Amino acid sequence: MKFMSLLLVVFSAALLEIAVVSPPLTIVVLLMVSLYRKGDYVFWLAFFLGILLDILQVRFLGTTSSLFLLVLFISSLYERKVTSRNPFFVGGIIFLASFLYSLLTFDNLRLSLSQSLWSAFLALFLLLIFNTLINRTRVSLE
Amino acid sequence: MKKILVLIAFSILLYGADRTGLLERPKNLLEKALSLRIILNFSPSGQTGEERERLRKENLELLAKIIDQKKLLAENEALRIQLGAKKELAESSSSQKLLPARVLSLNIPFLIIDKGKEDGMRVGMNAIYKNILVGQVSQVSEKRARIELVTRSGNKILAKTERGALGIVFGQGGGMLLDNVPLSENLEEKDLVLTAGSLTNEKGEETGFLPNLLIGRISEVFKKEGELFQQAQILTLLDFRKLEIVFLVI
Repeated sequence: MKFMSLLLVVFSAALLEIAVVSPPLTIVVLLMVSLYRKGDYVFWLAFFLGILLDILQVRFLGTTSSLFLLVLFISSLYERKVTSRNPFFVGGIIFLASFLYSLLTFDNLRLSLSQSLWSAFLALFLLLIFNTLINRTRVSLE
Repeated sequence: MKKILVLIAFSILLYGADRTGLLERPKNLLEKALSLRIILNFSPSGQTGEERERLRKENLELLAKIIDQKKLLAENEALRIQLGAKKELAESSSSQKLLPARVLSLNIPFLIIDKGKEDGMRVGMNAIYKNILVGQVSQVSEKRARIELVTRSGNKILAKTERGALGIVFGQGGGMLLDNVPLSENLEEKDLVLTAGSLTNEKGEETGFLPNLLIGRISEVFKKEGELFQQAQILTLLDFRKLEIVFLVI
């Protein structure tokens, strides 16, 4: 059930990115998922969502999935050295990931910077919500 | 760790294969499979299965008719406006035909439209609306195409103002900048800027913008004494976010 809702959230992010919003919502959500849930399925999700985005946004196949996977790979390397739920780590990694993704997608420095800032704020907001929810669950269990 | 590296390598391999055109068939199949229609399934209680099925079909037919009618109205309006504009376009390029295409999604600085290779689309075609340049087709699949908006950073267009001053328009993401205009030329605010013909890009390919298409209007002129050229900020005449239909010049 949890996995299904996770899938729903990630697919909704991808659909929103295709149809409505410009900031790289999918990579933000994928990174957040990778910080909270361990497992290879995040990489598979990144791969298939990348292919989906490439087809629907008329790009060469593999463009987005390579980017998604590269970002997740770099994030996983640093995750071992830093506390993964540290706001500085989350904000920083999402900012860098979105910047790289936007720069390669839109080829515009100003647009990429603004989109990365939005993504980092969104990630910090999500982190705040996730942490609050986790803390509440812990308190109620105690 | 190994799995992610294998997936990255596989993605890069896919990219290479698609660039060389090896994946055209499977890509088309995937694209067709993804072009699914979302149907709302509403079934009120208290009806027999047969009656419910009949009502459902009738409901869907009516819904489809309403949607078609709305689409037709929007298309007619766009065609009517475009027809007026086409007369002007015809003066400069008599052999041009226009192909209408619906905008499926906008992800600035790109537009995705519902026309692809099977409709005769090809890379480099100009997209216009009311004689205003929207952009250029940058990638085409079987059923869709991707248009790079005229404002995209890195775009270069050979342009002229309505007073005849020649220059180059550079896309800046949100707006555009008219540059390389000699100081001796007269640039005024609110002057219209039009395309002046094709220009070659860094790769040596012709960017192929048709002449006399509207690019935008000058909002600010930057002139400095002692410099060779003057510049002007250009605002586009279209709100790309509101575009529902564009026309491709064949």
